[in-house]
Amino acid sequence: MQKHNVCLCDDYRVKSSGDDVLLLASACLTNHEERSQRQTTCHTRCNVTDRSQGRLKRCAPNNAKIDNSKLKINCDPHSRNYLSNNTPPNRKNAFFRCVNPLLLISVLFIMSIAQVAAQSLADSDLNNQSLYASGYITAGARTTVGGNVQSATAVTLAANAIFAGNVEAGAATTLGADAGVVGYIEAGSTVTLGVAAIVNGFIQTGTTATVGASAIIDGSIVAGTTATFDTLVEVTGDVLAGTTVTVGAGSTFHGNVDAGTTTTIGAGVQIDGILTANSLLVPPPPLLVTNQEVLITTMQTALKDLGTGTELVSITFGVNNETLEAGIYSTIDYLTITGGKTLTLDGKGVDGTWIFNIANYLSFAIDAKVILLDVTDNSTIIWNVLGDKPGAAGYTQLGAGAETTGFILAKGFVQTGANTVIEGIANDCGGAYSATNFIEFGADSVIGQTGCTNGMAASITQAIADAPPEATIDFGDAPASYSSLAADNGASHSTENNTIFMGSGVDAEFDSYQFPLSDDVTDGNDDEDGVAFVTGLEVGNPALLELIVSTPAFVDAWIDFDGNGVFGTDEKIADTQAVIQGSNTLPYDVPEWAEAGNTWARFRLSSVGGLEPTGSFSDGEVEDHQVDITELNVSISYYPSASEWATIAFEDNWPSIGDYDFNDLVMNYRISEYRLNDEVIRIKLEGQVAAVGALHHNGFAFRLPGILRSTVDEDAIRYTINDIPQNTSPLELARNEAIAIVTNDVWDFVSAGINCNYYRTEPGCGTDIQMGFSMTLPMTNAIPSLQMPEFPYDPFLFATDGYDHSLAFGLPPGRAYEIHLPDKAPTEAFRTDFFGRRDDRSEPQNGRYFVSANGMPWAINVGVEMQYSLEYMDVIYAYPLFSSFIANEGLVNADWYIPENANTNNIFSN
Amino acid sequence: MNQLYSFVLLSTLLTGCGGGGGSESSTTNPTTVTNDSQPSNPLATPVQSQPVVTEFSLQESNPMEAEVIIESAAQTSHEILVPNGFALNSERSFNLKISRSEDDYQPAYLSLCSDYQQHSDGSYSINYNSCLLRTSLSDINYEAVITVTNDTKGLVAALWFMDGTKEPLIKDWRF
Repeated sequence: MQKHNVCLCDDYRVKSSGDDVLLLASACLTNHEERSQRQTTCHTRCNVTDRSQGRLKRCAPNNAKIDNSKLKINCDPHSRNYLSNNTPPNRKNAFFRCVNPLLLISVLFIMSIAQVAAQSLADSDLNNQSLYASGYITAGARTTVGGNVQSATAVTLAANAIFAGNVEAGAATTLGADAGVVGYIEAGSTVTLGVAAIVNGFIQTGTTATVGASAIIDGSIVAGTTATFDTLVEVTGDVLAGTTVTVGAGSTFHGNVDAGTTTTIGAGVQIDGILTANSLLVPPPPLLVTNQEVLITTMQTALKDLGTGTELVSITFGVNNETLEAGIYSTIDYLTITGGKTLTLDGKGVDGTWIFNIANYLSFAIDAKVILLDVTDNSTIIWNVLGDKPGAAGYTQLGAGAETTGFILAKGFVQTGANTVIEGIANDCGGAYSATNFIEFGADSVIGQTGCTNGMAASITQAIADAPPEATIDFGDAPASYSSLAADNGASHSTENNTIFMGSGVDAEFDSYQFPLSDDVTDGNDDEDGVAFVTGLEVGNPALLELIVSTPAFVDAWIDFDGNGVFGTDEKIADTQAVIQGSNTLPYDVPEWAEAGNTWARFRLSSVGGLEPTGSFSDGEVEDHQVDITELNVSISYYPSASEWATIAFEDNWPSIGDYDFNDLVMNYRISEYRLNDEVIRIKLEGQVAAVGALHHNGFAFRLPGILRSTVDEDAIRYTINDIPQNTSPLELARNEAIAIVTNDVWDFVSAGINCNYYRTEPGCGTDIQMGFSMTLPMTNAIPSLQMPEFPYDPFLFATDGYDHSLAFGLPPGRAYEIHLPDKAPTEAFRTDFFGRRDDRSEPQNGRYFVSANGMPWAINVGVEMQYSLEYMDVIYAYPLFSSFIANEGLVNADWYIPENANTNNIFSN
Repeated sequence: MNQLYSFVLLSTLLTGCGGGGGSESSTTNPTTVTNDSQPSNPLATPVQSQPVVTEFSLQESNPMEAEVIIESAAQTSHEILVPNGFALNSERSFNLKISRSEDDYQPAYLSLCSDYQQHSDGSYSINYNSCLLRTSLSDINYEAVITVTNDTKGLVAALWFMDGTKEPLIKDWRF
């Protein structure tokens, strides 16, 4: 086939022979305008604009003249890199038309995992493949495949099989007698053409090219080593072999023939171009086909996480004729259509998407058929054969005569008998990917109609975008290590059948919200309310929990007793446990090897039970809960409670009276005491910086009055800020008392909002909490209860070293400056000569500290997460009951500080 | 369950002389068994339990009553006069006492929690994540000092029995 083309020569060989410039283009590209406004590059051999018999060929872009005076690279410099070996060539078959069977599964759904995966697919080597297998691909006799084919290993066409697209093989490609490839062939190792085989495009092999008698190749041939041609072969393009070229009698070569080493030319061979032996030219290697198993598996998981939709019962579905409208369907085992039966996909005349998420295998028995009824051209059908049920291979089989439509993504092999059909909707090619295994088509099968076009890309994208947007999946909230996220095959339950749940209900999410921001915090709907740990968990002791359930069902539950971040099989506390509607009390044991501390528990309720901690299920609910495990007989006391925050709020102008907005530093905190035999063995301090309404640099700490520094087991301290373990001990050095420094400067961790002076005190200056801490202080010697300071111990503010703090001090007072709650004594680091300055009226001898002449404090402490005043707003305007609370010494309006008593205009809202 | 039985046996030996716990619980009533959960059939089968009188007592350590309500004239915090060195504490101290009868020595677990609801049928829903105290009880008497912040509207004590044959005992106080 002769074409007049403008060429971009991506690869060229240059020889000069006197005045002639010889360009051998092994693979040229031609740019066409193409319909659908997509520019495709059509492969053809680089034709000549000038031909001189036997001697000179020129190939130049845009018909530019070759300048003989220098070796002019008349090729688009971009194109030289355009086809490097490791990038997708995006070369398409051009011969019948510039068809471009793209396969672009762009799953535009709300879940970002799917989007990322889809984009990866779109950008990958699979973008334009109709068939891909990590194993081999074999087409039986007379089988036709309409689109492009890619195998990470070998591709084999039996006799008379025809591939209308391109073939890319990681290893060998073999065509039987009279087989044909309309596009090009790229093979990592060998290409072998049988008798009378036809290849319309070019052939590029890593090693040998062996062409049988009477074969016809329209494109060029590049072989890494030997090129061997039998008799009566016709080759239109150029031939380049790294070593020998052997040509049988009667063969015809319309282009050049170049052998790196020797040539052996039979009788009556016609070579129109230049025959060169011992050229020592090194042919370029073919395209590298990479294994796409990971990418396909990611896509399959993303499709699976679109939801379980309607469950099709494996043993009954497909036994008789079935009809399904568009939607998401799933099976917990296989999906089969019995021999001779039909599955009608009823589109009702509107664009629709069918996605089948199949846990085990897909099987169409002999003569089983998928029939399309009123299915529009823009519709999409995807068979997602996951094989993720334990022991499942995830294969797809079509018996003889079976016919299906759509695209098959299979974990395992795809195998068809004779006379089968896999086709796309309308002109789509359809096709199949096997992530881990082979694809085999029986004789006389049709995979995508020849001439199929417009792969699945646009139609799938549109159809998925039209899919129901509301989330239908409930996920677990435990941290990602427990496999909560969709991408980790997290525990999930379809909520479409909302009748089986724990507590008051179940809400669906798009993906697992990662603790600490579980969805119960963000959407205000606490669906983690079906489980109550009515007793604590003590190592080695039995325990009880209560489960509230909507309907009789089964529960599987785990507690991560050893705290390793994974729910192990020996950590299962309930296994297919039958539960009744309403309240159920479940006894369980905390094993001897459990670790004391905070960990996670997972509860999965379902209609059948026997679930694993991960993986999706079609009904029921998952609830994840945090639990505290203590040592045997250890009790816990909390201030203000296990789940609430208390608040200490400071005026940091001490010793001067300020504006009483009590928000210069606002800390939320909680204290837990762990006791054994009425002695405290450990305390835990947790908290967060709620607000910094001051420019001063202040630190925050807890003094433990009466507790010696040496009593604390410093090496065993665990201290985290924002969940990051801290390297240094929080215990203040060289002190007698135990003083736990949370931070030396809150401004190290928080920053003011944009256009704001302070952190979370001015209107419109809200941000998320930027600093949280957790400190566990074990004691080397247990402290008898009578010696323990009362809650809330002695939280205090101190000035950061090196910063000015108040005009009351000539030099920056630094650590020696402290503010405590009224009548709490300062620490040993304090400079007592600071007392009495400015407005301070402390009387240490009378036990009065940090109060003004009016008895007003510089710090207040309340038992809730306080909604503090706006900047500069006197607290009395935010909490009008404040003054009568004080006037009556706390006997009236003791709860002056609760949100219900606040003037909402004057409090900060985030 | 072997562990449980041995525990019971042991506590019999240890608490044989346990003092009957002064129950001057003038502020509370003797507890009756409260149903907040039905035993579930697939699990332990409930046994008819002997009537047991367990006393729960929660008394403020230093109770004070306001005799006269004082009006405050302060319009701003600068005008507030704090009387008598009041330190603006926002919490109170309570003594919790639990006394079980001498033959009620089975292992039990106590939770004292602030977030709960009592329903019209007398049952309770308790948020066990909101507790001020969580402890296993080995003795028949238990005492503790509880610091309760002023915003707390009530407290509920839930005593669960580990062998599952008895329903939990629930007692609450409203402030």
